[in-house]
Amino acid sequence: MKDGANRFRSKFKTAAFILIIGLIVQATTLHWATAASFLGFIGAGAVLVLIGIAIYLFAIVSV
Amino acid sequence: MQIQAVIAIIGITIVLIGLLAVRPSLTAAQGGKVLAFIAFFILPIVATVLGAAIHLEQSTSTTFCLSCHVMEAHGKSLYIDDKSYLPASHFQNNRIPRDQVCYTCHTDYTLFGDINAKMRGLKHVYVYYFKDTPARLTLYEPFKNRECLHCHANARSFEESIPHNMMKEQLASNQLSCLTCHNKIHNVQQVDKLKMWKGPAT
Repeated sequence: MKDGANRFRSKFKTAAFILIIGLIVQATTLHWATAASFLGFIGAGAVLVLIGIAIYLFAIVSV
Repeated sequence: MQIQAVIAIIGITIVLIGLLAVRPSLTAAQGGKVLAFIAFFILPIVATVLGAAIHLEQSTSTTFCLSCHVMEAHGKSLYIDDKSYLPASHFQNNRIPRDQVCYTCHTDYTLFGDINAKMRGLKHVYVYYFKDTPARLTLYEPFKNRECLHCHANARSFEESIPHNMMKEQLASNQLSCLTCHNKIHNVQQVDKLKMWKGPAT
């Protein structure tokens, strides 16, 4: 049981870290109206956010 | 204003995620679980969708189009100091919004013209970053009079012009292109040799 809680916390924190990085990337790219910032938003920000959400969902269903 | 709102949502999300990551025990209670679901699932999706919408809206801006190196000469052509150059005269005389110069003339004024133009823009971004950009940039299809007539049709200057009146039917049906007579466009091959306008006084 304790092992399960620890695993949940570990995944939860990983999801939090990836989501925060993804959201920071998204917020940063919004400051420029360029093709590079659009690519950064989609290719890095949105991808990191989706990975973070996936890890979070995986963490809550595997508790 | 829209950008600030999305950044505020992102900021709130980061704070909530940070708080829950530092104190995961908060998620033990029912309320904590709901808060975590909002912070880790709902808000990031909302931020991503709104952010993508803002980026798509920004893709209509002149800055966006000219941010690719291959478009530099086209951007420069807007400053050609010769009123017979079509894009330059439209840009310099504020006939089109300066912050959406490329988009205003190169979108299709049809039901799905807006989305088509944005999809073409996405394709251009893809080609620019992941493929070889063609040495000579060309339009997908000949420029349609519809795009010119979107503004010029029924305009007094257009209606009262004798040559336009004589060719009205042919112009409306696209049998005769506006560019047959107004044939000085971007001229990117020679733009460096032409005299340039210094731009509006700031």
